[in-house]
Amino acid sequence: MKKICVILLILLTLCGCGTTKNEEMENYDPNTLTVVTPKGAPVLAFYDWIANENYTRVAADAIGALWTGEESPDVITVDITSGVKAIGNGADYRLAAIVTFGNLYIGASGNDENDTMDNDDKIVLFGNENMLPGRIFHYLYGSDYDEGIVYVADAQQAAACLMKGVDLEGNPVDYVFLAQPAMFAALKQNENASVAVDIQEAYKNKSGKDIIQAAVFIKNSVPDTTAEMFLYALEQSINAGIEDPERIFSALNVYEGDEFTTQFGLPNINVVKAVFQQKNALGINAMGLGFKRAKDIQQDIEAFLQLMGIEGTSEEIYR
Amino acid sequence: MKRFTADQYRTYFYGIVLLLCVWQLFAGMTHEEVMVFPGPFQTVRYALGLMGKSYTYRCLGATFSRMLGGYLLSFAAALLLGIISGNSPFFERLLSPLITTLRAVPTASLIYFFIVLVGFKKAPMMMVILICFPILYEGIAGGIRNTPQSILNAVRLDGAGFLKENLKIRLPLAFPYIIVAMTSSFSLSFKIEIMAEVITGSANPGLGSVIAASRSADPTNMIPIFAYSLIAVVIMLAIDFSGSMIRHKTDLN
Repeated sequence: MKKICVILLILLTLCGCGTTKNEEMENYDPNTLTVVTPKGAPVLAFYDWIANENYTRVAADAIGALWTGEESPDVITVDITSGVKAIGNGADYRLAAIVTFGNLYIGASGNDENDTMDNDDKIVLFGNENMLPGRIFHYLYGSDYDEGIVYVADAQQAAACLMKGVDLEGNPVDYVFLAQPAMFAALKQNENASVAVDIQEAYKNKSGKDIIQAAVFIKNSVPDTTAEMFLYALEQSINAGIEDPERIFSALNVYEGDEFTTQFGLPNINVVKAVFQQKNALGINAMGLGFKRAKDIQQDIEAFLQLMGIEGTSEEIYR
Repeated sequence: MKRFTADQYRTYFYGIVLLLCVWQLFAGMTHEEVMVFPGPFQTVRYALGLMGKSYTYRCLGATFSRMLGGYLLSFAAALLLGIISGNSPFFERLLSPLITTLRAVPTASLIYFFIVLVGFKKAPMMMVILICFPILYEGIAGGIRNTPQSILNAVRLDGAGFLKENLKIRLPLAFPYIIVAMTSSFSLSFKIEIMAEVITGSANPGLGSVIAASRSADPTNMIPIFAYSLIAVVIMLAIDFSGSMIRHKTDLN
């Protein structure tokens, strides 16, 4: 009897000392990894990291310089095309997850008399024909409207076109390709403007797949267990934020005015609230925030990368 | 002397009035005083509002301290190498290709290189070092080199060594050259720091960061961008004015 008691006691002690994988992950301290994201919508995915000293937000254009060097972070969140290209160029990272699934829209300025996009209309896209707006637009509409397409340098200039209903030379424009929350801000300023096309829905109808925007890339030197814990924490955090957006808003609400914009690249907390609480045609929050492991949606990713001109990605890009 | 100084102040004031008139003229010509080219009155009003906010001072302080750090490091390097080059034509020729390259290299492209090399926080400071160094170096080297030979001969007859000759004779005589190089590179360093902050788009406080953020928040409103720029300009005008006062005093002495 005494022996049985001792054995039972030892077994109980051993059970008490061990922790389950879930417990371990729930106790994971997200401060351990250095994380960089571009300012704008991807910041929402990392609302739980905002007070973290290891979390940095920078201009999207500057992230390209972070893939190598001593100060390259453990985790980089960036548009999937740039990340996969960086891996192709030798960056020591792997694609782990997707956190933004498209927040793209075509806004009508109110100038088009027949309210239907056709080849008489002037359509503003930002970047050039090889960048996301040009690629997606041409995938959806072919080259039917090419005569009326005008490219502006960046999303800010495109937003200005929709806000004023004119291009940079003062000529009227009919449709403008934009991402949230710039679309919301433009609609606020131009009362004749409206959302003409939800790109997420149009893309889904044509391809049967989701648009992939911001992706999480993890450095190869990060141990698998740590990466797994990080992804688990991120997934839990994003899901909790989608279920209860107040968690996101209160995390962002630590700054105000210009400091808010400088910190997050978002106009202000009210715009974030308003956009986040809208749903796109697929029933997802209009910011496109979500979480999926890259390996689980490999087909969607590859189709999207192919659309962006990246063919034949190997299995090795995935973590 | 007093009359001369008062005239200088008056001329400086007229210069500012002329600047404001030209500014208002351009703003009026664009017919888009919010979206394209805000006028001085709107800008000053907005800037005054910004001056009431603590965040503006944090941005100013951060930009200024990073710039000053870079500037001082640049000055130290320029002083050391400038003294050597001013004394040695061989060393001057040796450094010449480097200095020409530093002067010609496109600054915007270098910022990405520095982000990789030293990270986001230090990259703007490195830009300041790189841009200011050739100006300071050439000012110091030129000043040292142009010490009158007669004075040098006299000092050498007195048995002065290299260190004494440079610290007590050449450097004080090069002072006007150094001041000119310092004032012109100081304004430039402020501009470079702000430009580098705009490009990196860091979330750290800074005039450049807040200018970039203002543009992304409302691309149709140029007033905040002009207002933050005005604050930078006023600071630079004050520094430039102080610099010209110092130059004036050194000339008199």
